[in-house]
Amino acid sequence: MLTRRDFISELAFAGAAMAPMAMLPAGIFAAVPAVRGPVVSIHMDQPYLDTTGRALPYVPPNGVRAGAPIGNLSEAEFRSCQIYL
Amino acid sequence: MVDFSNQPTMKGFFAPTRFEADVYDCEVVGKIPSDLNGAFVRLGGDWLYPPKFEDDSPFSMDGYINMFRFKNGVVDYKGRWVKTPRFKADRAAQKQLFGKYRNPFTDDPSVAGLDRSVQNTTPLAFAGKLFTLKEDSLPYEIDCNTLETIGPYNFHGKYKSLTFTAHPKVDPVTGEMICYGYEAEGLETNDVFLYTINKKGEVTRELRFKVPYVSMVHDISITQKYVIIPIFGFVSSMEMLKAGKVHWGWDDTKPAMVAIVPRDGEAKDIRWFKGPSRATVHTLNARDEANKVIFEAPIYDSNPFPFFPPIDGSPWDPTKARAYIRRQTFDMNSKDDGFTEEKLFEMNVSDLGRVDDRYMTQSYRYAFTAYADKQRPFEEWKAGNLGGRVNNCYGRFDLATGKMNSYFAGSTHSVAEVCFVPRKNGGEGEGYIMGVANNYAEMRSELIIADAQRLEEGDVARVILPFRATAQVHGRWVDENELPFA
Repeated sequence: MLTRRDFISELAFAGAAMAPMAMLPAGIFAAVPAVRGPVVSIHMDQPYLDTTGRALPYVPPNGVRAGAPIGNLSEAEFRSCQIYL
Repeated sequence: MVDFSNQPTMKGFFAPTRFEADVYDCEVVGKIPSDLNGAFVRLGGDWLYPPKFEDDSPFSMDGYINMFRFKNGVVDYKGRWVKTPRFKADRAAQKQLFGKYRNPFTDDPSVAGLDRSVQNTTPLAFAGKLFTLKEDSLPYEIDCNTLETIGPYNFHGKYKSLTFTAHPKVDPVTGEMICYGYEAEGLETNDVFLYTINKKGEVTRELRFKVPYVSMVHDISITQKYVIIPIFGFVSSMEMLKAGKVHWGWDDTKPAMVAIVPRDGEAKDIRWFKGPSRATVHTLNARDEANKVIFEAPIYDSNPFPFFPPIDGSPWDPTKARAYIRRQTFDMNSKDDGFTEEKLFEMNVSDLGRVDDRYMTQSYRYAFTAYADKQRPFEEWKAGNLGGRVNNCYGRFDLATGKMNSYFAGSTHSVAEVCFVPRKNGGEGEGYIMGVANNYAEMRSELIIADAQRLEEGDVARVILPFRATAQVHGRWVDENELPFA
């Protein structure tokens, strides 16, 4: 599976191959991380820390963020529909 | 045609499921302990049809009984509606005919006089039978193998109250069940009928008395000598019902009152104690110590239910809707009606607490209940923004040392009421905790099984359902010898 990290890496290499060396920003290769540690990623408009470093996209099941329908309720509204959560 | 589209909170994980289910040989992560043979039976509610009124109580949901049947390391799941006359009438009419919680004046005229109970609170196994319980009606007998509804049960005609508590207590020493009905002679009556039923299911004793004001009498506790019966600020009247309101409103001026009833005494022997405004919806345990009665429970400061609003029109106060494990001490030699109260833990908890039932009426050490640990992670991007608002842990609260051990259910989970399952021949607290978790990321329910003495180590096993099980109020472990399981 193509991860975003791999995609960005390959994009940088592809750009380097097509551009004259003089046009390359200094240190562009250094910007490609060699070690895969935790990364901050964003999926579905929310930031999260991807501890796997794989940056694999999260594929949500149906009903993603299933608690959301009551997440923004006031406490009174919340406890009126879900007492024992 | 059924339409839940205008019910904004009945979506996502909270959308009604409305189906009956059988899952054979459920998926299990881990290994089911070989000494678990029996069933974890849950009772709760789901909406067959949308409520007739927007401000009705969730306690009006149609009853749904379900069980995880454990046999030789394999778990089967079964779920069925409790098919009451109300369920059948709605089903026939293909719409909701019944109005607000325990208010028949808001019903469709076509169902006048029909048993309007929904059996959605507590399962009970007693005297070889399985029952569903709801405090506004008689118990309903259920076939323990098919979970089909048999019908209302009155203990061979000897149980005379029109209502039966959702929280009877079984004395582990005598095997007797202490149970009661309030509003025992009908809507808004101030009678309580208290019963002793022997382990064969025969009524052996009835005591009738009146309460100082008509109020919710949801749970009790027992010692070897006494029955402890708390009543608190929920009030009701025929005027309220005729005005189209739900059954209960909250009156902050009402003192919390506790009846201490001798198990072998008469109505004249009852002592009523008074304390500050509190809400003792559920109890833990009680015991006799010399001339004192020691009673412990997760007790709210005030009204826990916004759908039973204050009668003075003031807004419901969520800051007072927090339960703390407290001890109340009643001196049976005292000349006044006061009692003392201590807060045993400073953290607020779910009031659905449990103990090792083999120690009921006795000195005991451990209480179990759920709580919300805001320090634990909650992955809102997967599960929705419920972080900090839902119970995500089970705790074992050591009443002797004040320490608490914790089990964490997961970063996209909330947990329902905990149940303690004793290990055969083990001491107090030796066994398992069991309870169902909502997994919001995967849109499914999971039955947690953990070693009650090693909560920090996490699951012993987790039973995975491929769907959302109905919301639970109470669940009970039933040993294989308690019911005629196939």
